[in-house]
Amino acid sequence: MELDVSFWLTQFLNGLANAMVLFLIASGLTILLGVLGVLNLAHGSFYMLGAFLIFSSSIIKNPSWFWVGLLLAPLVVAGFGTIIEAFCLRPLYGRERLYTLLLTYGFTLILDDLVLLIWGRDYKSVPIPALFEGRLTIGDFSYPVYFLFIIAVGPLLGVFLWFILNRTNFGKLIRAAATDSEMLDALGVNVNRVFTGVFALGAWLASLGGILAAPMRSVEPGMGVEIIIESFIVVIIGGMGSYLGAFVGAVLIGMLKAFGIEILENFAMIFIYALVLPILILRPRGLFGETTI
Amino acid sequence: MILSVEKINTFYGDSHILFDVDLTIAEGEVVSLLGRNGAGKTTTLRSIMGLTPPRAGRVRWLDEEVQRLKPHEIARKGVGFVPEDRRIFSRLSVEENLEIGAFKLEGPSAWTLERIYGLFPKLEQLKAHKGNELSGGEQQMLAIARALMGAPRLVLLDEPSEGLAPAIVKDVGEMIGTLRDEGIAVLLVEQNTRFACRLSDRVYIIDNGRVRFGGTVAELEADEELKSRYLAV
Ligand SMILES: Nc1ncnc2c1ncn2[C@@H]1O[C@H](COP(=O)(O)OP(=O)(O)OP(=O)(O)O)[C@@H](O)[C@H]1O
Ligand SMILES: [Mg+2]
Repeated sequence: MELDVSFWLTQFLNGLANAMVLFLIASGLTILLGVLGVLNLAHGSFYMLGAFLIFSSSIIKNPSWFWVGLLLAPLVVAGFGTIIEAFCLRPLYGRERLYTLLLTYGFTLILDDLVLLIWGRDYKSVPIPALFEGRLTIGDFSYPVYFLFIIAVGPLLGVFLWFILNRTNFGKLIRAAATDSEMLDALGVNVNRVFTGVFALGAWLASLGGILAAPMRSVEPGMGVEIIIESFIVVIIGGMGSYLGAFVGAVLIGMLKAFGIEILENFAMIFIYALVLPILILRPRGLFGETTI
Repeated sequence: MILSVEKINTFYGDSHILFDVDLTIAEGEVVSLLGRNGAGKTTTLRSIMGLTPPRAGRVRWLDEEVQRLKPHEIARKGVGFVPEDRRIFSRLSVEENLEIGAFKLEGPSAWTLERIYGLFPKLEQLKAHKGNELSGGEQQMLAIARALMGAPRLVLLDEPSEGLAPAIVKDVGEMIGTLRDEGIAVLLVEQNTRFACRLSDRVYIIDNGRVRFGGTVAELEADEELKSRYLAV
């Protein structure tokens, strides 16, 4: 039997590319959970905002549209996240978790509508940036260059995140706040600023995910909801608060989806739940729970 | 006075814990706060620190009222906090724990890592270890050193001898001696009366959320009835 190597390789790379986008969303989500204990349902909306902002940027007929958008849009979204955190979420810390859950859910609805209002309902597609157009061909095998770019960016951002968390003062404060924010406060650190910083970092990462995903997916309101569910599964698999876990979890989910679809079209989610269940039973805190950050 | 607590009343939810608690600490003075389990010692420290702000009464730092300030603002005035269960950041290294202690400082400080390591060589040996890899005594040493890194003028110490072997308690006593020699005021919460009296200039006794005694160590030592009534001797 001739095994179709290039087909499986393509599926593998597709899975990786999707995993890297998922990682960008899940890493912010998991750090937020670890530090603030807040499950931010609006995190998917930051992803959506990133995608729509890069769409707007693509309308500008200038070859540098992608790079300008890639640089500016995450900053805009991070700024927006800062405002949400400081003015809406902050008063709810120390209250029941349900309040923050409801609030961030409210934001997903508001932002979906806002996006509808600004960008309209019609289907949007974002072109692949000129630099990454075309396919890489090696013998029989050919694969879109843009997807390879995404696969390369994921680990780079993973290293960047590792550096921030482990080699900067901000990272030290994030890790300290994740273990004992009250003690950090008593040592003279304005913990609210740390929280805001973490939230902004998460929004920055999520919108970056949206930007990178935009050329390979359809850009539409509601796209945040789908990604937030998958990201949350990634966080559960990897362990809350662990960005390394988010990376591994994202790769697992990416692969399961890529190959699951081939085996059982339309039922790839079954494989995901089949993976989550035993992990939760054997390691209720996830694969990397309680080890990193 | 570097710190005066004036008639504070502190609550956890609806339960009234501190009743008109008064105490003062002068610059460079070592003052102990003694009392049995549940007497309100930790609550007093939490009230001073702004962690559980008093509902009534005043906390004065030098000439300024601070009872409305946030914990980090109070810490930045020059208060070091060494809590009951040490609360070392378990996933940070010893050195990172120390650096966090100095984070609030804006300018250069007399308390550098080198100086801390000079005073507590043990911490230098352990500097790359994670907080959760330390023994109880090492954690206590780190908690005090972490407070020192913030260049405090007053340190609040909550039962530093608790759960430690006698030899380690002696080390902790020496650390408190170091604080005194540096001119740092200390409010020492203890149940170990003998340990506290040996180190202190003055003593308060708290019971059921009320201050029952305030005076010199000699006055307390002379009063057997007081000791048997309020302290587990
Ligand atoms: N978070 C809390 N919520 C409600 N009540 C509390 C809380 N913390 C302490 N208490 C109560 O307040 C009272 C004083 O407690 P506190 O911790 O100040 O005592 P303590 O003198 O430090 O005792 P110990 O020597 O055991 O540490 C106790 O009756 C305790 O049960
Ligand atoms: Mg106590």
